[in-house]
Amino acid sequence: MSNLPKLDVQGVVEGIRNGCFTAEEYISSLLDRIEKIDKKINAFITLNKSAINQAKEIDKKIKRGDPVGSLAGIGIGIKDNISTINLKTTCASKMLSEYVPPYNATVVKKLLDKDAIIIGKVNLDEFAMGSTTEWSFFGLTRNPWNTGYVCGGSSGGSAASVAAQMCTVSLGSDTGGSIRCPSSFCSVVGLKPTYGLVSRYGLISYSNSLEQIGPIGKNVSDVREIFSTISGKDFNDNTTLDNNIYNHNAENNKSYNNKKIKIGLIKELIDGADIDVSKCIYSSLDVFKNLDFECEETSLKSTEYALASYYTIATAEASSNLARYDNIRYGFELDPEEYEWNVYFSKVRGNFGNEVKRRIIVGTYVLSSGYYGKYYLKAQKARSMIKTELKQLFKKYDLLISSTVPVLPFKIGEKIDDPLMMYLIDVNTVLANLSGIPAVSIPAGFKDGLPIGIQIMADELEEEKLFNSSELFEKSININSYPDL
Amino acid sequence: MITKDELKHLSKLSKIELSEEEYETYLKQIEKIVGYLDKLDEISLNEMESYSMIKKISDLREDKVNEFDRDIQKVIKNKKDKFVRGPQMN
Repeated sequence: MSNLPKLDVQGVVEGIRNGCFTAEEYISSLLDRIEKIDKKINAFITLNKSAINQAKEIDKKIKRGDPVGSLAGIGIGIKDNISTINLKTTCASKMLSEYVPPYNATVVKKLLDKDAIIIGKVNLDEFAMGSTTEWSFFGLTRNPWNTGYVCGGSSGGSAASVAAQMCTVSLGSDTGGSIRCPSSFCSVVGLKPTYGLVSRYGLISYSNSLEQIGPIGKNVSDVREIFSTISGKDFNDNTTLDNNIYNHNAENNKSYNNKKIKIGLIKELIDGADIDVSKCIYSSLDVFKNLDFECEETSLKSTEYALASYYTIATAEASSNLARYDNIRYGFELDPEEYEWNVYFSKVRGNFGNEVKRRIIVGTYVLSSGYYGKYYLKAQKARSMIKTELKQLFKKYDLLISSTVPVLPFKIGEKIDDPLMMYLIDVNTVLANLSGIPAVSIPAGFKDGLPIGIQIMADELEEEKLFNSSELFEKSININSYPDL
Repeated sequence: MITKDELKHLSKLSKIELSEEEYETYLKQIEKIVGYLDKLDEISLNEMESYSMIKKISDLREDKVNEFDRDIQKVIKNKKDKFVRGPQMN
């Protein structure tokens, strides 16, 4: 049974349904593996103590011949900024270190409705702010491929737990690359869906206009399956789109199936990349050419404003969203009684981690009265410019590709003292968040044992196109290796 | 350029207490970050309309009460009887 953790969604669901193994055996195999190897990785913050009991319930249902959900028995890791009822949701912050939500996020409810089992809550940069998962109050998460290296972020626990086979699939959230960056660094598949396709109800907000919840899996098929489960209109999130908008679009796309797919390689995103990374992307382009895709280089000039626009908007929204944390209703122990109002709040909020404090302050700065026009308003203009230019490109190309991250995974601690250097690694991923389009990161190769990922972007609502092309790519390149742990 | 006084003011506005040491490191780091954001200044304000999404924000949901039946009292840490307990107002 030692091979059970390697299975993908289909392997698990069919194995359980056909009686090859029970849900209890499968979930135990994951928990055993966590027990054995998570000391080295630190992907989990909290384990779900009732996971085994839920597995037993599924086994009973199957034994009785009762129907079970389409995800029955799979073990899911949930990023710890997504609310789970009766299961601590900390945002990897001291400020929420004891918070137990009274409700489930919509995405969690949808997964549980299909009989998926939550294995546990996984690590992230505090409040999802970071690109390496080094900014967690609960300690950093290590890269399963080389534990001296960062695993990417902010959904580092989500990607590392899947790569290290400690869960079947996981959920992350992506504000500026937080699903795709760690997916790239850990050699797994991660999707940032079109803005509005997945409900954010129960996702603890950092930057509402940019972030989406999305799946991370061992392969494209798993990601597609989880995406179709969690997406859809939600009464509790008014930014979700009507289901028929997406379905209509997917239906329309089927008729294009025989058309030659056109890919544009964004020059600006390759020019600045590490030589090993760009080499890998050019050989990926050859893979697409061999698949009979039409490929050429193209240009996205507004790229140069993307990061400045992103960090202005993200920090501005963060400063507003995080204003609510006062440590009064849920937080760490510090009796409010002896303090004056403002003194208490300033004191407790000093307990945010460095990166969160910096972003709140920068956000406060760009929104302050004298600077609003100089930063925030211009950032919104830049955002429009990027979206308009991308829309133009999608008239010509079906897909746009680049590396997911311009650099290889780097050593732990290497960039932690230089926030701006750290921000620069998000340059390829923020485009999709600023413009609301979907993007996926797929494993494309290795250099000295360190993973490289390719990013594929499509126009809004074109997830099907992303999945179909990614699946073809995945099949051709056939990376079937696992980290040695 | 951000001055130490400006940073002190920002820390007050965002209600985040900083240590002397933090003032020093943050000042350098934030100056670099904001310096990078200055790139946005190259864009002319009239050039482009503002960002819009597929969904119009004005598409509001029906104004209907949706019951929330969980015990919220249970998650509140600082309380006295049925009230939330906070710091004093001066």
